[in-house]
Amino acid sequence: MTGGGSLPAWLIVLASFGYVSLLFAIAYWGDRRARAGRPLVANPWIYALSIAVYCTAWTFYGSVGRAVSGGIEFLTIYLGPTLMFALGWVVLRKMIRISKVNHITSIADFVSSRYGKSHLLGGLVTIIAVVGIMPYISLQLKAVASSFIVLMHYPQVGAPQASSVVPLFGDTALWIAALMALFAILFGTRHIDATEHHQGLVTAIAFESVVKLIAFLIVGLFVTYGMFDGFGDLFAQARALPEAARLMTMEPVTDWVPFILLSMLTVVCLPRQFQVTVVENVEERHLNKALWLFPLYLLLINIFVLPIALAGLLHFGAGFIDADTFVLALPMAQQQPALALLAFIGGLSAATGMVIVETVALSTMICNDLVMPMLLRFAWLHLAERRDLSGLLLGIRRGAICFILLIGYLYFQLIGESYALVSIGLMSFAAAAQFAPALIFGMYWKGASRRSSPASPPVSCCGRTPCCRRLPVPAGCNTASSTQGRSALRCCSLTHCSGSMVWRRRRMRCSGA
Amino acid sequence: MARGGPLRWSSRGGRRVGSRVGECLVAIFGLGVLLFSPLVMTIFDRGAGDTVFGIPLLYAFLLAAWLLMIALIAWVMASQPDEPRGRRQVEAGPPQPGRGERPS
Repeated sequence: MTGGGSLPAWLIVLASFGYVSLLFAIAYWGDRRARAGRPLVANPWIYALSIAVYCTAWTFYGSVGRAVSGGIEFLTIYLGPTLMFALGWVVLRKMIRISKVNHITSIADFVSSRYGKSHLLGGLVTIIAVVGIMPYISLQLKAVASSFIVLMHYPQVGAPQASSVVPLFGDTALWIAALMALFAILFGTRHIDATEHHQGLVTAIAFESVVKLIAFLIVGLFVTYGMFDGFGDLFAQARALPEAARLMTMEPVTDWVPFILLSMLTVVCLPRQFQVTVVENVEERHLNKALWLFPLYLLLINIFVLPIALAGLLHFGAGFIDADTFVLALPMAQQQPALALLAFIGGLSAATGMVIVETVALSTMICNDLVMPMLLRFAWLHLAERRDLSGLLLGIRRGAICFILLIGYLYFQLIGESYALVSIGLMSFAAAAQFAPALIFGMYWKGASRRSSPASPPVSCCGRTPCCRRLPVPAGCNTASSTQGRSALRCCSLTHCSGSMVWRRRRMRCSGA
Repeated sequence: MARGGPLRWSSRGGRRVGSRVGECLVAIFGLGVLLFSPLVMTIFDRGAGDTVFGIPLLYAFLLAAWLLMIALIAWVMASQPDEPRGRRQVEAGPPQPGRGERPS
C-alpha cells in the first residue's frame, strides 16, 4: 500500500465503473452456467453469502456512526439475526417448504397465501413494503453519494457531506441509481420463471458479500495494527478519553432488547431477505450450512466496528467529522489513497447489492400482487384470454424497478440528507417488522389462517399501526424509531390476535345458530 | 462419509434425528437469549478498566458468547447430510423398505 499520492476523480469513477462492470460479468457468467446445467448457486456457500446482503451501506458506514453514539448497541442489529438463525431449522425451513409447495414468489405472496390467497392483503403488503423500504433505498444512495464526495476531497479530510449546488447530471446518486436500475432490469427481469430464481444475480450478490467483508476487514486491520499497536493499545488509549471510554460500557445503551427483537423479525421480513433466503433457495439442505455461516459472516464484519469508531474518536475528536464516514476518513487521514479507494468500493458493493435485490423483490411484488390482479379485473383488456403474458409481466417489472429507484432518489434529494444513516434504516426496519405477526401467526396458528379473509386481522394490523401512517413523512420520527417500532409491533400483534379471536367467535356463533 | 456433531444422521432415523436437531437449536436460541439479556450483560459491565487480553470485558464477553452460539449451531448442524438423501442412498446401496412401505 503506497502512502501519499493523490486520488483524482476520474480514478474513483473508473474504479466504480470497473467494479460494476465486473458485477455484470459475474452475473452474466452465473446465468450462463445455470443455462448450461452447471449452476453456481447449487452451493451452500453461495447461498449463505447471498443472505449476507443483509449487510448494507448501513453496516459498512453506519455501524461505526452508531457505535460512536450508542456504544455496543450497534451489535443488536446482528445479534437478532443470529438468534433468528438459531431458530432457522424451525422457522426458515418451514417457510422454505411452504414456499416451494405453493410456488411463492415474494413476501406479499407468502402472507396472502396464508390467508386464502387474498389479493387485497397481497396488495396491501406490497404498498407497505414499497413505502417502508423507500427510505432504506435512499439510504444506500445517500451513503454512496456522500462517500464519493468525501473521497473526492482527498487528501483533505472533513469535507462537507453533500453540496446543494451539485448539477443534476453530475450527481453521483442519480448515476448509481441509473446503473442499479440497468443491472436489476438485465439480471432480475431477463425472463419470467415460475420459480423466480435469478441465478446470475445471486452469484453477483455473493461476490459482493465477499468484497465488502474483505474491504472492511482490511480497513479494520490497518486501523488496529497500522495506526495502533493492536487491540490492547487501541483500547488502552481509548480508555484515557472519557467520550471513548463510555462506549465500552452499557452506559450509552438505551434500547438493547427492542432492537434485537426488531432485527430478529426483519431478517426474515425484509423483502430482499425473504427473496434471497426463501425464494432463491434452490435446495433446502443449503440452509444447514447457512444457519451458522451467515451469523459467522455477521460476527466477522462487526469485529472491527468498535475499534474503528474508537480510533476515529481518538484521531479526529468528537464532532469534527461525521462518524458515518470514519471508515473512509481514517485511511485518508493516514495518506493511504489505495486503502480509501478500497473502502469506497466496499461501501459501493454493500449499497449496490442491497438496492439490486430489494428492487427486484419489490418489482416482483408490485407486478404479481398489485398491478396484475388489478389489470385482470378489467374485462375490457381481455388479459385472461391472452395466452402469453410474459411480455406484459416483464414490462411491468421493469417499469416498477425504474419507478422504485426514481422515488428512492427523490426521497434522498428531498428528505434523506437531513438524517443519519441508521435513523433512516430503522424506519424501514420498523415497517418490515409489521409483516412479522401476520407471517408467523399465518404459519403456526390455524385459528388465524383458516378463518381469515381479506378484511381480517392482518389487514387491520398492517393498516392501523402508527408507524405505517408516519413513514412517508418521517419528520420527527427519527429520534423515536425504536419506540415507534416497539409500539408498532405490539399494536400489530395485539390487533392480529384479538381480531382473529373475534372472527373465530363470530364464526362459531354463526355455526351454532 | 462419517459425520460429526452430537446427532449422527441416518437414513432410517432421519425424521427422529431431525426433530432432535430442532430441539437442540431451540435450546441454543434459549441460551443466546439468556447470554444477550441485559441481566447477564450487567454482570460483565465493570467499566472500561476491566480487560481480557486488552479487550474490554463486556465487549470480549459479547464476542465470545456470539462465537459460542455460532459454534454450537455448527456443531448441531454437522449431523445433517451435505448431499441430497437420494445420492447418499445410491452410494450406500438400494434403499431399505421402511416400516410404512410394502416391498413390491
